[in-house]
Amino acid sequence: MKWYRAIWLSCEQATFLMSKKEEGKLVFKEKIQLRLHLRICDFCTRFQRQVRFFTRHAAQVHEHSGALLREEKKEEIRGMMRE
Amino acid sequence: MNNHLALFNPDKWVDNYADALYAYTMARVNDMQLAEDIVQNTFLSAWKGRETYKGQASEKNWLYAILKNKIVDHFRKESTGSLTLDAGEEGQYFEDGHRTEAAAPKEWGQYTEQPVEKKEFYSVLEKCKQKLKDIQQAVFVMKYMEDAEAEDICKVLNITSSNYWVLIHRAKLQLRKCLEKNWIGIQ
Repeated sequence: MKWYRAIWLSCEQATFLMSKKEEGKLVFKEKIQLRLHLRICDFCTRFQRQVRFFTRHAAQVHEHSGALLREEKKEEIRGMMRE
Repeated sequence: MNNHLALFNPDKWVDNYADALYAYTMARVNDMQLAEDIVQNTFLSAWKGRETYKGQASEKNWLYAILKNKIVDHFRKESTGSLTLDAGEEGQYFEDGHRTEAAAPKEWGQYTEQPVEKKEFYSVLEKCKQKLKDIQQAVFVMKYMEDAEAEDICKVLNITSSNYWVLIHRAKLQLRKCLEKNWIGIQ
């Protein structure tokens, strides 16, 4: 099973390559390695799904925070814009 | 509509956009004082540059573009450029490359399939993000909240691309674990 050892990734390597994949930075061998790993490893498949889920929603955090700028600060800015 | 000049109304900026710009900024820098300064500087820059507004973008998008630049400037200033990564931070998740028992992802089930409207998800995500180290947060925010390219992020933070990959990997490992513990755990 030498060929297998040569291309099998550890979970650590596999999760690392997932980030490179997002940037389109995988070389051919890595693409094959990651695909093979994900076909066999349930944990990494799950990891990938969960990470995609929260990274996809990260940009909307502010829409749900309800944070408001202090009124005094608003007044200060209005004042500066009058000058 | 390709010209927005008629709707350009600086007198109403603070009323119309201050809260939204502030919430946007807070989610990205997590510091009230800093977020206030960034919003204030955004309005002042816009005010000083109001003559340059040509109406190609809507007033709102124009203000957001200025704000986003200020946020990136903050990360640029904050980054010291001399980054030393502690080796082996991954050690809590992997042993010899294999997942440790504690770091094996549990099934999140239905929560990842439904559209997320639950407020608590976002507040947990925000809290988990705040626990990241500054540099990891900067990388995460620029990549996933500001949609920047890895190459640009490296330039802004003055880091190598190999450091970038390590930082983004660690940020994901930590966030995933934190969400599992604090969000999935409370369902």
